[in-house]
Amino acid sequence: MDIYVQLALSGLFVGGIYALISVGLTLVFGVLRVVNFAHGEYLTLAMFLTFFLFHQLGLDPFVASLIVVPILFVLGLITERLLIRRTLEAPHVVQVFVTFALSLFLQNLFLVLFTSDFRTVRTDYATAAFEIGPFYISWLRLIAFAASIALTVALALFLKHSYMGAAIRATAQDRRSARLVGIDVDRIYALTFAIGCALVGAAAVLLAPLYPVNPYTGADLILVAFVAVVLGGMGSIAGATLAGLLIGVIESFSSYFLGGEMKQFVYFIVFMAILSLRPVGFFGRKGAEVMDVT
Amino acid sequence: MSDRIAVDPPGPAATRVPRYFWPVAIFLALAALPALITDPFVLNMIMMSMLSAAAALAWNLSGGYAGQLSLGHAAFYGIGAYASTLLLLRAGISPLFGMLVGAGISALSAIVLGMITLRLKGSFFVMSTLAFGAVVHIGAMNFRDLTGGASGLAIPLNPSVVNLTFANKAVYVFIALGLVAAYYVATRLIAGSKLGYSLVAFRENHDAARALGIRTLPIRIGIFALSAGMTSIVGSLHAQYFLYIDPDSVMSLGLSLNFALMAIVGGLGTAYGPIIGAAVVTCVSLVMQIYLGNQVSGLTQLAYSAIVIVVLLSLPTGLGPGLRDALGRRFGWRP
Amino acid sequence: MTTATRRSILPMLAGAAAATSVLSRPSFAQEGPIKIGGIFPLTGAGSVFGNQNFQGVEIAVDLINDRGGINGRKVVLFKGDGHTPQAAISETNRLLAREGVRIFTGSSTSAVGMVASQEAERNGAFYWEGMAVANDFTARGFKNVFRVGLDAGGLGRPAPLYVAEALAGLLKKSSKDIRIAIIAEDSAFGVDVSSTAVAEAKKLGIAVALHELYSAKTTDLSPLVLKLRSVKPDAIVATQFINDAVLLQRQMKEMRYRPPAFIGTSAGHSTLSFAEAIGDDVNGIFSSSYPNDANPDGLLPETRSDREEFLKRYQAKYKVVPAVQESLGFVVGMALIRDIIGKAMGADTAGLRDAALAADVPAGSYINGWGMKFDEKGQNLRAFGSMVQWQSRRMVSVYPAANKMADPILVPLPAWGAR
Repeated sequence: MDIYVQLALSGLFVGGIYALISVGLTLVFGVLRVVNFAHGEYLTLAMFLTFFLFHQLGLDPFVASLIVVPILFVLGLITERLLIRRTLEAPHVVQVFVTFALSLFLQNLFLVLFTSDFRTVRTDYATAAFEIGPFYISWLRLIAFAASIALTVALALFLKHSYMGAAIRATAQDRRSARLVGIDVDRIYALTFAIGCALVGAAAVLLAPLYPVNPYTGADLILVAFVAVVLGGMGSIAGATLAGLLIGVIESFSSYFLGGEMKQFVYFIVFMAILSLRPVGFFGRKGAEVMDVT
Repeated sequence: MSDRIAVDPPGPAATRVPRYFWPVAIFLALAALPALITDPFVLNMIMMSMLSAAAALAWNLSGGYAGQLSLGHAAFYGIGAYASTLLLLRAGISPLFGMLVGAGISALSAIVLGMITLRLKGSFFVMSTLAFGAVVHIGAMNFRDLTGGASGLAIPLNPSVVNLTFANKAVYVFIALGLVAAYYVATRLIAGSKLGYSLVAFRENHDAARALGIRTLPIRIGIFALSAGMTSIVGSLHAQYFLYIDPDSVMSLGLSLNFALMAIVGGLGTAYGPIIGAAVVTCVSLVMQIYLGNQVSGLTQLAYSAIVIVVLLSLPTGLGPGLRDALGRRFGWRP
Repeated sequence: MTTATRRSILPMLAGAAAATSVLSRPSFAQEGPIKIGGIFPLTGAGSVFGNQNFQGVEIAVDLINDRGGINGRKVVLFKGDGHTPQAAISETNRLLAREGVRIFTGSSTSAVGMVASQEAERNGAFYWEGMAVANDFTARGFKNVFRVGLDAGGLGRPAPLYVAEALAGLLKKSSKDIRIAIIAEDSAFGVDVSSTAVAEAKKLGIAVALHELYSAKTTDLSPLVLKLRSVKPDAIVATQFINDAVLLQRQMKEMRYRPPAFIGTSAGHSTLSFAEAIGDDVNGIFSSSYPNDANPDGLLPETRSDREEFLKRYQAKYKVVPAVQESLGFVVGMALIRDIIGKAMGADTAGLRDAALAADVPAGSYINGWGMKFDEKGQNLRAFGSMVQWQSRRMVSVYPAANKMADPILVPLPAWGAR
């Protein structure tokens, strides 16, 4: 019995970080209708920033977040203005491949700037843990999990209760009507993309003390986020969070009972099964996903 | 003024260029290349372009004409490579036959996948094909007894026609060129048929297509399966050219993205677009490697991805149609 | 076209093309620099070790050039980025055709090495492998392909051997009742190396309590730690890259799990990034790998000066102490340039092949203690894996006897934070 609880805890903790990465992605998709393949590279970049702030200036990652997250926000604004905005009216394929090329561009930029070596933020508390009964809980993973959930809830509240949040939701639902009621849709796009980047920046700060970074770290992690976004229902924040947590738990159980190499296989099979039964995902808008075809 | 000539070509039929003149001329010119060129770098560049062009043409049938943006085609490519290689290594069956077996398996899996996913809209379909590609890739990594896992499979260098193995690159180039020509002709035939028009009608507006009474799901599954089978054959040829396959090199996500990228850069939903796209993308990245390869690691791919972004943003319909329009505006010339 | 005509036409074309390509082949220049092509993954996922290997070869080239080159001729090393097998084939061809390179070295990953060596062989060039470990690399009947480094067994076997010969005694157990867990990441490298470790353990009568693979891209290894805890092995033998090696150590510490002994079998455990990431907890961890360093007493006098030059030059150029992959690159370069190209005067491929088959370089001639003698398949018989242990955050050779610098310490492993 203990082992199941311990596995569930481990899965949830990892899932929390998956959720935070996925939430930024799903938000951008929901509002701009762009699948951002370069989302993972913003994670890599933020992890590198955290590393250099730690290594050069001795800043603790949690302090560094006060610098990293705003930088990512600004970079998001810049990317949206220079690149994403130009693709919004372009065919779907162009959008996909511009962000894909951007991801390749950033990976190689990191390679040129930082080399392919792995960098680790080594804090004194990196492996601090406590015991409750027979369970071992890592402080950092617990904090990362709690912070992920807190940020997601904060985002949901912001979207629900602030004026800006209402404007973002309106744009997500119907961009033409949003424009008609006087919402500056272009500004909403920029803001949303920047929030997506800031969220992934926050995820990076939480991940940096746990996991080494090199130019390909983000690319390795992003596939999970894509799955979580679709599984949750594209554009749904609650869905992405739930799916992120679920994938974490599936990974944890399948690697214990079937072997570590099988875990991706298992969650992809689960993913395809759910898609074929309920294509809309957990919380997607019904009718958004299936074409009325014969 | 010159526009009018192009739009409505007058003149006696005898002086007009026959419909297939340009494609035939270009393929004949290309066929002469391997006999003239002995530089292995250039031959390899042509071979890589042709392999990519064939895969991009196959992808384009489903991705371009039918608008089914699949990011899982590398799975079919890999199935082709593994099917022919395993049959050769384990049972001594010629890859000439093995590639057909691979194509059959790929087409069948595409039918099953298509029945599940082709009812899904844009991004949902994209993501589910992506997941399918990942499942096949991880499967090939983990079912080691069958596939050799990540260690890959090496095909012995025993040149013979039955083994589809040759010491000289030029032979491979001829075969690949033949494949590209066949796929080009197939694309033209399908695009010009009622089937092709139904697919395009569906792509452009599926509600209107339905209102017109076009039953698209079966033909869309059919074109997806055809595209998968064609991709699979290219995969088998890849295995015979490289004589070594592993899951990362024949079924990675990057490969799927490349097939699509080449078709898009060249011109989606045109028969010549994927060929132009494959040739340009392959040659540009290889030539850049000559000048940037000895510099800092990563510079070539940095430049490559920047070029892709610029091309996509400035010519969203692709190099082929984009240049054609530009030429048309400038000189009134419409090839 | 019928099958019959196709049969007759294709070989004809092939023959004609082969003939022209032979005629147009550039003759081996007797003057001018000696050109070597280095096909390594310099970008992409394999690039960590690819770049480190390349840097090592580069230092060897610089050193030989500063010492006057080979018979007065300079050596030039060309970069070929083989980040995928596709790239490896095109880079090999590029260097062949554009730069006139007839001698290649590589390759860091087996996929790249398999393809690059075959392309060199097809084109009648000479290929010199360092780090690719695939067991069938030298089993393909190629004439001009040699591997100076280890095969997978060379990396995988020392760990169980060391458990039987040394660790069992230190753990106060007989090798009959000792149990080990073998874990590995699931790329070709991890799969090949760990299966040879399993086979060797079985041969020695050591019980393998767990053999498990996982993807190196994982972000959570706690299920594996739980499994290890329930299996309770006397030693863990792990084939890992860097990020997953770091992750496993950290999660074992989080979950207060401490095996009596931990042996890495390359590649992550013998990098500086590993030690930097886990700090003093690295002390006591063994790593069976390419020898990083050899006991200078066992080296020939001129090798000792090579060793000093290498350390000095590497640190001056890259500002860090070289580790295993860098020194392997250096050995690969020195062996190729000094002992093969240097012996085969003005050689073409056949001459290089003869020089390689004739090579009889005694152990202790290279900075890691290796010598060089090839079997008929082209595998170096005087390459051996060795065991280092992290002591005071430095890698110290403890096995085999020829390389031994110090006795093993910290067995069984002390508590986390007390190493």
